[in-house]
Formats: sequence, C-alpha cells, structure tokens
Amino acid sequence: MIKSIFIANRGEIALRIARTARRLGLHVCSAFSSADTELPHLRLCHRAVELSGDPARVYLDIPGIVAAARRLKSDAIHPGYGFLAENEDFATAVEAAGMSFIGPTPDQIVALGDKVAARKAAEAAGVPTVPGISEALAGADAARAAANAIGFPVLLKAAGGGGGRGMRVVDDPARLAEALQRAQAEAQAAFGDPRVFVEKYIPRARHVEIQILGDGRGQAVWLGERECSVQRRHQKLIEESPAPALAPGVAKTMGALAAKLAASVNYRGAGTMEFIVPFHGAGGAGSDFYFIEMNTRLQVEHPVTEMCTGFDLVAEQIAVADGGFSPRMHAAMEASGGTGAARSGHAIEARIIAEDPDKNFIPSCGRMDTVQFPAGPGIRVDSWAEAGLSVSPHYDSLLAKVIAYGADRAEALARLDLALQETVIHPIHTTAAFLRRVIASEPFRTGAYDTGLLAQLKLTPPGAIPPGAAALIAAAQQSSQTQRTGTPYEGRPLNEWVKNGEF
Amino acid sequence: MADYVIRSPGSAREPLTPLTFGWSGGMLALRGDRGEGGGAPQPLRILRRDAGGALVVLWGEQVVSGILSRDSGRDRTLLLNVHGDFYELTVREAMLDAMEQGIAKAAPNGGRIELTSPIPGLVKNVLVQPGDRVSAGQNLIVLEAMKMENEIAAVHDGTVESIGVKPGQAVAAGALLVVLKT
Repeated sequence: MIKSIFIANRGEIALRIARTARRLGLHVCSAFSSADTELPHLRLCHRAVELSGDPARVYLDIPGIVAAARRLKSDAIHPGYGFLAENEDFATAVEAAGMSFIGPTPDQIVALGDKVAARKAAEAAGVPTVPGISEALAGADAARAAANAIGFPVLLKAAGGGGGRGMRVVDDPARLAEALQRAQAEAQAAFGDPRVFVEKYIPRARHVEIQILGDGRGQAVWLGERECSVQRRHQKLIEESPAPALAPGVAKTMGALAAKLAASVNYRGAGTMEFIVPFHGAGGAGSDFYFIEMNTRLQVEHPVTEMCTGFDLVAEQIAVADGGFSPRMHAAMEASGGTGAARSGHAIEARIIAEDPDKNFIPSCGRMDTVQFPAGPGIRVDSWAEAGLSVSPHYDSLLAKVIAYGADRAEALARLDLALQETVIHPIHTTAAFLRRVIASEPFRTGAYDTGLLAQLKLTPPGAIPPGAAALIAAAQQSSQTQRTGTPYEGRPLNEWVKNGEF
Repeated sequence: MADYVIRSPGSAREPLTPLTFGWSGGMLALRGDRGEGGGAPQPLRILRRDAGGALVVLWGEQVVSGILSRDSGRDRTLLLNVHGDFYELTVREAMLDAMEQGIAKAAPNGGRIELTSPIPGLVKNVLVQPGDRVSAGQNLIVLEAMKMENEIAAVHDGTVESIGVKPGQAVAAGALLVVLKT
C-alpha cells in the first residue's frame, strides 16, 4: 500500500503530481535543486531536501535521487516526464531500494523504449508499422538493399532516441551511405547508441497518439486519441482530442490495437502509442496509419485526455503501482468492451513556452514580473509560473499548459482563444500570442493540418493571418516538395533533457 | 528585546518546545516534540520569501509555511504555520536574511560552527568540556533568560573546540558560547 510518494521532478508536472497525491491523502516528498527553492510544488510537499550540486545535473543523479527518497521514507517514486522517467537504470535502482516505481517495469522500458524493439513488438501484436525494416542497419550495403526494397525517399532513424537526433531524410540513393554515417555518428553522440534503422519517409503526415493504461497483469485499456501535429522542431505546441480529421472509426481501430499491444507485453502503467497518419490534403480524411513508437511515461499533454474522460491519470498510475486498476477504471474497461473508456466533448491544450516565436523561438530566461492566467468554465491551467519567480536556463522552457474544454471543438477553440488572450507573462517572451494566431488559421480551424502546419503558416509579427488558406496550403505543399532533399531534421540543442526525446 | 520571541497563540497544546538557538550564521532552530530529527533541534530555512510576505520554510526536512508581517523597523513578526498550529515569532530583519542561506552553508563538514547566545542571559551550567565529541541535539549550555532555562544544543555533530563562558557569567545577545569543529 503506497502511503508516501516521492516526486522526482520539478516544474508544472511536480505540482500536478503533488496535487493528486495530496488529494489521495498520501505523504508527499520531493527534492529540489539549488535553483528551485521557490517552486510552488514544494508548498504541497510534506517533506523536502535539497539536492546539492550542479542544478542542471541533480535531477539526473540516480543514486542521489534514490537516497533522497529513502531518507524521506517514501515508498514509491513518481518520475514525471523527462529526466529519469524513461531510464531503465533508474526504475531498477528504485525497485532495488525497496520502493515502487510508478511506471513500467525496467524490462518494459527497454523493450518498448527502443524503437527497433518496439517495432518488433508492434508487428507481433498485429499493429501496422511504417514500411521499413525492424533491424539496425549493419552498413551501407544493408541500407541500400533495404532502401531499394522500401522505395525512396526513406527516413533513417536512431533506434535509441528521439527529438530528431540521428534522423535523416534521404531522397537520393547516391547520398544514402553518407547520410547513414552521419546519422550513426549523431545517434552515438546523442544517445551513446549508434544503431540506426530505416523506414519509408512519409512527407506529409499527422501525428496521432493513443493514451493507454495497463495493469501489469495483461489487461490494458485505451483512453482516447490525441492529435499532436502542431509541432516545431519535433516539439509539440498544441494537442487536442478527439483528432479532428480522422476517418470515422479509425481512432477506435488504432486504440484497440494499441491496447492489444500493451496487453501483449503485460504493460504496467500509463503509456502512449504514437502513430503517423498520412495526410491527403484538406478534405481528405485519414484512414491509413502506422505505429512509430511508444512513450513509457505520462505525457505532457495528458490533461487533454483527462478532460475528455474525467479520469485523473496520475491517480490511475498510482493505483496501478499499488496493484491494479482502480475500480472505476476497471468498470470503464468492462463497459467499453474494447472500444476504449467513454469520452465526451473536446479538449485542446496550448503549451506556453518561454521562447520568443518572433525570433525563431530563442529561449527567454529571467524574472517574471507579471503572471496572469485565465480561468472560467472549461479552462484548466497547469503551471509553475508565478510573479517573482525566474525562468532558469538550466531546464526545459515549458511555463504552462492552458487547456480548454468544450462540448464540441468550436466551443473548446473559442474558450482557448480567450484563455490565451487572458494569459499575460511579462517580461519573459512566450508562445501565448503566437498560438492564438495558429488556432485562428484556416487549416487549424478546419482541422485540415499536418506536422508541416507551422512551416506553412510562416506566422510573423504582428501576426495577421493571411487570407486565402487554400493558396497557402498549395504553396506549402510545393515548398515541402522542394525542401526534403537530404537535409537533417533540425534538432534542439543537445542536453540531457532532450536526450529522452520530446514529450 | 530579544532577537526573537516565540509564542503559540490560541494553541491548547504546545507541540513545539520553544527552544531557540543562535550561531554564527544567525540561524534559528526549533526543536519539536513530534519526533522530527529524533528530537534534535532543526534549523528553519526560508526557501522562498515573496514580496507580499508569504514564506515557504524548511524546518529540518519538513515544509511549513509562514507569513511575514509588514512591520517597519528592524523587528518583523513571522507567523509560522506548522501543520496547522500557528506560532508567532518576532525576528530581526538581519536574521531573516541569514535564514535564507540554509544550514548546509552554515555547517559544512570540516567546518567550524560558533554557537552564540540568542538572547541576553545568565549561564547556569556548562555541560561539556573542550575535546568532547558531541552529536547534533546534545545540550551544551544551560542559559537562564526571560525567567526560563534555555538549553543551547549542538546543531551539528562535532568536537568541542573551545568554550567561551563560565557558569554564573552574564552574557549579551550574540556572545560566543561554544565553538564546534565539524
């Protein structure tokens, strides 16, 4: 029986976990870096200790975190997302110290976190994967044979990581060997693992993911999909559920397959199966889809699912770590008969990030003098930001998640638009005003958008939305044809945070 | 006026033993009766101090909250909320600044800790001698002040390097009582 929980994280997710843990009557503990003494989640902790050392490194220090949790007599650790959330050595160390790891088993982290292994597991469970090979490439000859079989253009991907590192689009067979060499070197540098595999490159696609929860004993339920195609440099900025432009029944098929895959490996805890859905242009509903990878943790965008299902996913994670599904989750799974837990309405999340969208998203650090957040019917804000606190250069730049819920997409969008207007953070630059322009754009409003949306819109200050969305899309399609020649994906600066992929 | 006074207004029971300490960092420590730190005095460290006066305070490893009055002058009233029980402390501004530094900086291993008298008073008893090994929480000096006997305890494990006072001696606030090597 979990009575005391240790939060091995910081920022908005630490606060979000602390709220649920307090609501459940648990004893709540955490540890903070010397840069984080003022973070609001500490107010909800019963006990806390400082992690001495480099603030940029302490949340990655496995022995240090485990020792702090033991010292505070915690019996379970919630890793949040990022940092050590998908680190099998951490999960192993937590369990070896006699505590519960609120997440999958170390074996599951290895088996599903590795992209090649996850592809194999998906194939075994009958889940479609992107045409490609489920083996690391031995060399240029193997790459050539595989790429010829798949057909150009192909995408080289690192088996051991994400975030665009070790990823290369190859159009031209003559450039394959060199691209492979570079991808392997990049993967080695970023993840300490040079393995690279190859898939068919799908130039225009949506990113749709399925939230699943497994009880660790062979049962798994799916909790709806999230459309996450509004991205820049592989970082999601807006997520919504339901996905606005999937063909009828497609989400249900994806969800049932995702739950089957999770059940097939006795998956324990919350996880997300990511799929790509080829984009066939405005008006073309997506019906074909491919599994690409699994995230073995709680996602940043989980509130979208919580708004639509009514479940508190952190509470459900804790229930699973405590032995199995909560009675409510069990009932929801039984009642759905494989169609996923009941969902209603529409939810959209906008990520308020401390970056300047008008200056190519350069990070914006320093003290926040003014912080105002929205409220009202259907609005939820998950944030650590408060006036007087500082945005530290040591950590991820996520300040807040503003989530709007409505009976339908139009109501959710209208609420989000007002909520973003009400969001005032000064003098730090944020994405709030930029995201208002994005959700006002024609492709977003009609739901006919893919991962290229931001590049298509080319939103520049002061941000008037150009009329004639159809012309824009046509122009963008043309530019995406000319841009995909042998260039690497643009990666974020390499640091430990990014090493675990984007969230 | 002492550097600080602790009262427990409106509390039927008094879960905090109003033991107070001062040392070179000017840190204030409280001993609780709820087993925190095995009864050893635990330092109060201000983690966060907002412009409006709201505080987040680490008492040993426990997170408690506080509100600082807007009093002008050198004395400030600190209302400390320890698990629902409120305590009122009158604290000098300079001491608040020191409380923001933290025990880790005040007592590193291999360092030297000067225990000073938190209040003017009379030394009733000296319980240790130079060279004695002492552990955190062990009483070192008994000081009579404000018609109460106050025990001054070690804030850290260490060895007594020197003792600055004798029984019967009157001391002023800030007088050096004991030097500990950690």
